[in-house]
Amino acid sequence: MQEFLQQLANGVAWGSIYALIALGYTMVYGILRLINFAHGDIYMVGAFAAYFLARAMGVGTVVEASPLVAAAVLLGSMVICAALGVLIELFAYRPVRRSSRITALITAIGVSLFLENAGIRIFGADPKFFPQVIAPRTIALAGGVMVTNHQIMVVVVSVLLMVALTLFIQKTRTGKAMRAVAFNRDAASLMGIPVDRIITITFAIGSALAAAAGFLVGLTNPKIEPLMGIMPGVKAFVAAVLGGIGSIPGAVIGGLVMGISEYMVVGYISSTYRDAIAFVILIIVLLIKPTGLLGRNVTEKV
Amino acid sequence: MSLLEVENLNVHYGAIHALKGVSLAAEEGGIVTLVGANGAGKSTTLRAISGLIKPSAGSIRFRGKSLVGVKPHEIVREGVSHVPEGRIVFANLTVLDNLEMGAYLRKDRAGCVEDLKKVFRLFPRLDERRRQAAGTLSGGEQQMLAIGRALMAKPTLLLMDEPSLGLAPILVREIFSVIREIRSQGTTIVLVEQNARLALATADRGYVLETGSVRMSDRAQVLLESPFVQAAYLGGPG
Repeated sequence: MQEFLQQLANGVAWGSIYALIALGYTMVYGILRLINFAHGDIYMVGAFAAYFLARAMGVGTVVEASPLVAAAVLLGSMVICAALGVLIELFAYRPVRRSSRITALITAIGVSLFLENAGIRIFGADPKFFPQVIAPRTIALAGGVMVTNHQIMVVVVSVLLMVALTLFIQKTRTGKAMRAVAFNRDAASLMGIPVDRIITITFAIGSALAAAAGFLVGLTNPKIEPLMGIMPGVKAFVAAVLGGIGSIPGAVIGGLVMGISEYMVVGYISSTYRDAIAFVILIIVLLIKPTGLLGRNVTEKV
Repeated sequence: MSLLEVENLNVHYGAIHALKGVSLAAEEGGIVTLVGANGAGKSTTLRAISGLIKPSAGSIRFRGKSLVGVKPHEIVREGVSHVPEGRIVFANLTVLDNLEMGAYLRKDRAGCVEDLKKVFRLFPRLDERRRQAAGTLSGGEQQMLAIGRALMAKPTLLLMDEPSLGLAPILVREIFSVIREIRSQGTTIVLVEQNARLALATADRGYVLETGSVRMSDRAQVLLESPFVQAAYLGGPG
């Protein structure tokens, strides 16, 4: 029982990271019907942006920073990635928006390779040690479960961001406009909604969430390198598909399921199969419920 | 000068020449109707006016200002609203949120509240269902919502594409009485309809479209009595 609860706690923390990344996939898909394969690499850039920001603010590898500096690093990397997401949409995706979906998909793969190789070129291929913005502490919970303060922070920050995102999408005019554009782009533009600007905002928000995930991963797994986005990117994509791509609560549920099942595999089977479980889940979802847990069955109009 | 002047409008969908030099005008405060069979180019004309498709040639002038190449949301800002074919209400949003989206560009909160009341007076059923998701409404209610949503932009010119499509006769009459009501409040209307008899009876002026060209245009009453229109679109003299 203790083992189970321990793996559950680890899985929830790790799943929150997947959920944050999956939100970006699902938002962009919802609005453009585009799988943004570069999204995992934006998360990588987020981790590096946080790395350089923390170093610039004088955080060494052992010296602990104040919570204020930690928050500044987090927000700074979110802003940088939001800008990166906007640029990617403007220069890579907008020119092919009227082209076929396969064109957009290949463009996304191209952007992904570009970011990975630019990362190797600029940051170097060697892993870097993420500064200890917050010193790790271990906390004992009930039932003998041990968690780190980093894991708690991961969950808390993720929940806060998800609540903020949900409120934004449900309550604000811009958020409602995002849902309107996702439902039907032409009808939205006939209401005076500036579709291009809404798409830009969507990319900015999705990329900022990926940056937050990058920062949080830097805290818990302080080894970052330019190809670190590939596997979490793929798994977060699976999480988005599992939850029903286009659905925001679906992305959160999908991310948590992915994280928990990964740690259950580590705990009860073997850590060798840690990455395999994502693809097992993907295959099962595609076979049994291709629209995902919360996905709507969308019939394409001819 | 007419409020809306379309001249020699040409639209291509790839290799298909959908509009071949359509010209029409709408006078301020009137109802103009475009009638014709499926594929005649009625919807295409409206979609070109509201900027959803780019014409290959020709001009569209609204209050003397060219609309060609202007983005759809900017055209809404100019005062042109479009009730699209098939209604396309935002099914995942509530009735109230749909109406709020209609007023997306407006900054005058007081005016919006006033217009919301006006829409609810026009369609009391929408008021009863204001918190309901638009996708759960019946076809007729969705049409009311689509019209109400377009009115929330406070348009000078309202383009309506097949508002009677798929509705029971009693609802069609209700929708058409609302159309007359909207006109009486000073909004100019361009109405696309397959129900030619009802459309011509409601409109001041009519255009008969056939395979992308204007076949006839005249006062609606004249078209209603024309032997050609009667034979081709009204099911014989009647």
